[in-house]
Amino acid sequence: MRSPDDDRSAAEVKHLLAQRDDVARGQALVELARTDAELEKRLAERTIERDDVARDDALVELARTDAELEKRLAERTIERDDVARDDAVAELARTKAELKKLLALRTIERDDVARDEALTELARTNAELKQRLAQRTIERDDVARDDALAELARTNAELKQRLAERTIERDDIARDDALTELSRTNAELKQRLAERTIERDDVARDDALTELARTNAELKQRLAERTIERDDVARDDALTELARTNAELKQRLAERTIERDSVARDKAAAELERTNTAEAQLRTHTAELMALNGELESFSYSVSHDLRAPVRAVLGYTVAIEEDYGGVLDQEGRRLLTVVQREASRMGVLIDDLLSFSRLGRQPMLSATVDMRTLANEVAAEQALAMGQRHTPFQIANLPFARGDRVLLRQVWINLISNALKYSGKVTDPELHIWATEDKERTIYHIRDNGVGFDMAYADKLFGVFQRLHRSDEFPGTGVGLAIVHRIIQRHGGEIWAVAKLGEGATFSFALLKESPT
Amino acid sequence: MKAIENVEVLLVEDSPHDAEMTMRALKKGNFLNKLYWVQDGVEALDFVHCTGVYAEREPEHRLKLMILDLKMPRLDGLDVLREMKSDERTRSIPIVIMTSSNQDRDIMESYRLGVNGYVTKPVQFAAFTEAVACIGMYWLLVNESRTS
Repeated sequence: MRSPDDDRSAAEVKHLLAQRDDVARGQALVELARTDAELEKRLAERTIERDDVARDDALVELARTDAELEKRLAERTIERDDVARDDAVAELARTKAELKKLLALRTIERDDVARDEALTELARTNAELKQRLAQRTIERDDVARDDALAELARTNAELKQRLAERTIERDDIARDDALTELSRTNAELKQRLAERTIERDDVARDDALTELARTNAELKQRLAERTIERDDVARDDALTELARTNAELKQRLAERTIERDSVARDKAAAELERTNTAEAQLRTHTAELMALNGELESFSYSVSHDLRAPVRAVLGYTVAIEEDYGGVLDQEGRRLLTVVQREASRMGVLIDDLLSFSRLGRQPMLSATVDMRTLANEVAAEQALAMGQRHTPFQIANLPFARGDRVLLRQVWINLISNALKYSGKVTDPELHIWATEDKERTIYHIRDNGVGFDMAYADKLFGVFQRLHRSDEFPGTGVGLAIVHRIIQRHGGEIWAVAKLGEGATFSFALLKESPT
Repeated sequence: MKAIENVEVLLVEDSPHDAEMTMRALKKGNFLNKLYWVQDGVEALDFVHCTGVYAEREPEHRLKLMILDLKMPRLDGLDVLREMKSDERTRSIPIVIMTSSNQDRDIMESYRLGVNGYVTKPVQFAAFTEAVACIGMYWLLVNESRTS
């Protein structure tokens, strides 16, 4: 419960309290103002202090940065951009002035924010400067630059010397390499050329060798020239040229090799094909010839066989006329009949000869040792007798034995001896010789007469069937005798030939393989 | 056709000209009257065996010689020869082959079959005549044949 006193006292208290509050407020305000002033003073002091510290710091930093820059610049030796350096120096100076100005302004301003900004700006500018310095190659120190230039010149000189040495070295090596390569290529080419024997393309090989020698000489000359020159460019050119020439030569060689290989291969292939074809043709021809030969033999046999009958009839009937009606024919009639008989008779002989020639090819051959001397003597005596000569006009030397069919070899002697007798029959003093010579593998039997001989121009016709070199009214014959001789000698694996001169006789020689001592 | 009973020589020859020449040659030796000519192998065997057209021939009359050609129509000389020499009744009849062929194969085969002689007909008539005359002379006069 509240009393009025209480109310009054409350008001008083209130008033007192208010008074007290005011005093307290006033005191507080005074205190505040004091504190404020003090703070301001402190702040001013601190700011000055801090500004000074910061400025000093900045200056220290600047000095440091400067030193660093100088150091870096000193390290930099290569840069030759004076203009850029001057620019950088100018920029640096400008930046420094700017910084100082900024610092002064900040000191006056004493504004934390501004100062901070200034510091930030300083830091930024510093960084920028550093970056620029890093990017630019500025040389502030002339001495350092000169040193660097001197060093550079020295290094350059050294490098040049080294390069010169290296060049000489490389020239030598390159030349040696080139020569080695060249000689290798040369040797290779020569080998290839030597290997190429199938081709036998002398012209092409000579061309290649000439080309090679020429290129070789040219290369050597060029190398010599280049070696003396020792010029980088020239050397490089020479090496390039050498390499190019080498490559070219190699390519040419390769091309030529391929070309010639292919030519050689084509040639070889063509040759092979030709040989194959020729072989096949030869086989075919041989088979054909054998068939034809067999056919011809059977044909000639049957022809002669079947021709004999009518000839025999003609001859028989003319004889019958002669015998039965000779008396009623006048002289001319008998002459005509004689001609018919003679010609029919000749036809009969031709047929018989052809038949015996034909038989030769089919007749089996026996092989024995044949005493040729005895055989020739026997036959000479027989034939001389048949020709009505009492004495054998032959001089027969000792003859080696032969290996063959006695009957057939006898026929050879018969035909050759009868020929010799026949064709020397008109000579007053016939000389007939039979002798033998020998070579390594063969015995060659000769028979020589001094008769009419023959023209060697027709020698190739001598051994043909029905081939005659004389008219039959001069020397009778059918032209089968020597063909038979030829056939017999052929069947013995031998060879027969004749040498003659018209009017001076002929020599017939036949070679037979020697009798082997079995 | 002459009497077939007194035949001593049978000529088997398809060529009339050769036959005529043979007969002409034999005539000279006076053997012609004993010769009979047939033109192929079939006829020859009929004559020998008294068969066919010769069925009435008296088999008692034996041949003294058969002159046989090789190349003939129907039955050829080698067939006749084979037949004759393989038959007991006819084996002893002398057979002389007279042919144009002097082929070794024919000669060998003829002797293998038992021929008694082999003569190649000469082209020249004189030689031919002589050969035929010799054959006739030898087989009819010199040789002693088996009589019936």
